[in-house]
Amino acid sequence: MTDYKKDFPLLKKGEWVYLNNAAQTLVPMPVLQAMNDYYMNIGANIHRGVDSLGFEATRLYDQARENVAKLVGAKDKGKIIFTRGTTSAINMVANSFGQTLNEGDEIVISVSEHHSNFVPYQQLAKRKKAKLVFVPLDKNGCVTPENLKSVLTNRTKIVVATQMTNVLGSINDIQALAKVAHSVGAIIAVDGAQGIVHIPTYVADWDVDFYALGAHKLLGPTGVGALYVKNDFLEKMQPVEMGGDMVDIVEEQETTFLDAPQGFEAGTPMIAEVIGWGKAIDYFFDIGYAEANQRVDYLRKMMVQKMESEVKDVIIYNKDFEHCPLVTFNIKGVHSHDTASVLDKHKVCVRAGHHCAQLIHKWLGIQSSVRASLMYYNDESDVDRFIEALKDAKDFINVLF
Amino acid sequence: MSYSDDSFARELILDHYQNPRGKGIPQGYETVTLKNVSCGDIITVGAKMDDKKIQDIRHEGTGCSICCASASMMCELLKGEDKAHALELTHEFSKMMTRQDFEPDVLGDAAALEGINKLLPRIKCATLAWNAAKQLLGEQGEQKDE
Repeated sequence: MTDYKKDFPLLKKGEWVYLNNAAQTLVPMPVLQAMNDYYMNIGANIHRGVDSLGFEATRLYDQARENVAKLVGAKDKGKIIFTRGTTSAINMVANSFGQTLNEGDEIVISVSEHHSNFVPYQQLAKRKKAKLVFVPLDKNGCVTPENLKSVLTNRTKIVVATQMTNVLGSINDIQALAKVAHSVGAIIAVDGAQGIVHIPTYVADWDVDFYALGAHKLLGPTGVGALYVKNDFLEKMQPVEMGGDMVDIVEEQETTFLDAPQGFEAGTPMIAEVIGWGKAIDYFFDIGYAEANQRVDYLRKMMVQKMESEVKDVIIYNKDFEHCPLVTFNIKGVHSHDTASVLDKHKVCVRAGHHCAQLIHKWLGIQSSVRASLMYYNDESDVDRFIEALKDAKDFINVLF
Repeated sequence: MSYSDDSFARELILDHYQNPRGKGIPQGYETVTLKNVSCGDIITVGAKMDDKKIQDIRHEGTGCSICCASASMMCELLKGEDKAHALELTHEFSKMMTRQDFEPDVLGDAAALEGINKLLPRIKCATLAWNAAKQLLGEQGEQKDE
C-alpha cells in the first residue's frame, strides 16, 4: 500500500491511529504550507486597494473558489459562496432562501439528518408556520425516490437531504431525489459534508439547487465551507450578513449590494483557510476518488470481517453497506463512551456518542454508538491496532481505572 | 486512604454500575436533570428534603459506567446527610475531580473514582450527578445542562 501518511505530521509519528475522519480529516503538509505561505509572504486582505500583495491574495482566493466549483461539479465559480463551514452554509439557505416560504408550506426532511441539516429547517418551519414533513427511511437509512414521492404535495417548497449520512454512511441518490423534488416544483437542498469526501459530485448535471460542504472533512482547514447555489435562486436570496466587501453603493438612506458570491460574503473572510482549502482540493485530485475509495472499501471490509471474527459481542449497525467509509457499532453491555475511552487509552481515536444526530439513534433504538471512520491515508496496521484495542473494551473497568 | 490504583476500587465501580443504589425516583421528589450534550447521557437526581436534612436522594437516567456508578455512589453517600454537610461533600468530590487536595475518607465509595481525574474527557461523566445534587441543595448551576 502506498504510504500516504508521510504527508501528515500527526500520522508520521506513528503514535496515533486516527479513525475519526468523518468528524474531521487531518491536514497534509502542502495545505499547511499554503496557509503558512499566505501569512508569511502575502498577508494582505482581499478585494481592497490596488497593491500587489492584495492582488495576489485575491488571486489565490478566487483560484480556491474555482477549485471548489470543480470539486462539486458547478459550471462556474460565481455560484460558490464561501461560508464559515457547512453549518453556516445550511443556515444561509434556511435564513435567506427560507424567507420566501409562506404559512402552510411544507419542508420535507428525514430523521437521518445531522443536527446542522435539521435544526435550521425545523426552526425555519416554526418561524414561517410551515410544516415539517418526515420522509420515511428504508432499512439502510436511505431516502428513496419512492418514499420521497409518497410525502410530496403541491405545498412542498424545500426537500432537505444529505448525500451521505454521518452515523450510518447511508448514501442517497441525489440526482434521483432532485428529479422527484422538482416534479412538484420544490427545490432540493443538499448537505454534502460527508458525501463530497467519497462521492464524485456533479451538482449542475444533477440539477441540485443548494449544496453545502466544508473544508475540514476533506483535508482542508477548519472554519471554512461553501454553499453552491443554482443561479435561478441567487436573485431571490437576500444577504444574511451586511457589512464591508458586500456592498455596491452606499448612500445615507439606501445601500445596493453586490451580486453573489461577493454579496453574500460580508467582511474579511477566512483568507488563509480558503487558500488552504484550494490547495487541499488540488492535493486530493492528485490522489483521486478512485484510489481513495478503493483503499477505504478494502480497509472497511477488513475491519468489519475482523470485528466480527475477533471481537466479542460486537453489534455493527451498518455491516453490509457498500462504499461506506465508516463502521458504526457498540459492544454489548459497554457504553459507547467507555468503548471509546478504552480505544483512546490505546491511542486509537474514534467518535462516540450521538454524533450530533440524535434522531437517527432514536430510529436505531439506541442512545449512542461508536463510529470508526476511514480515510484513504489509513492502512492495514491501523485496522489491526484498532481491533487489538477493541478486544479490551469488554474489560473497560480494568483498562480505564 | 486512596483507592485510585486498587483493584478494590475497580470492583466497587463495576458493582455500583451493575447494581446501582438509589435508582428510580418516587413521585413528589424535588428533581434536577442534567445532560451531557456530547453523548446524550442524562441524569435526573431527585431528593426528599426538609429544612435541614436530605431524607432520601435517588437518581435515574442513562449514561456510561462512570456516570452511572458515580450517581449511585453519590446517592449512597448523601442519603440522610445534613444538607450543609452534603453540599460540603459535593465540593470535596469536585476537589478530587479537579486534582486539588481533598479528604478521601469522607467520600465513601466515591473515592474510588479518583482515577477519573486523569481521564480529562471523562470528568464531565463523573460530575454530572453531583452537579445536579449541588443545584438541589441550592447552589446555582455551575454546569447546568452541559
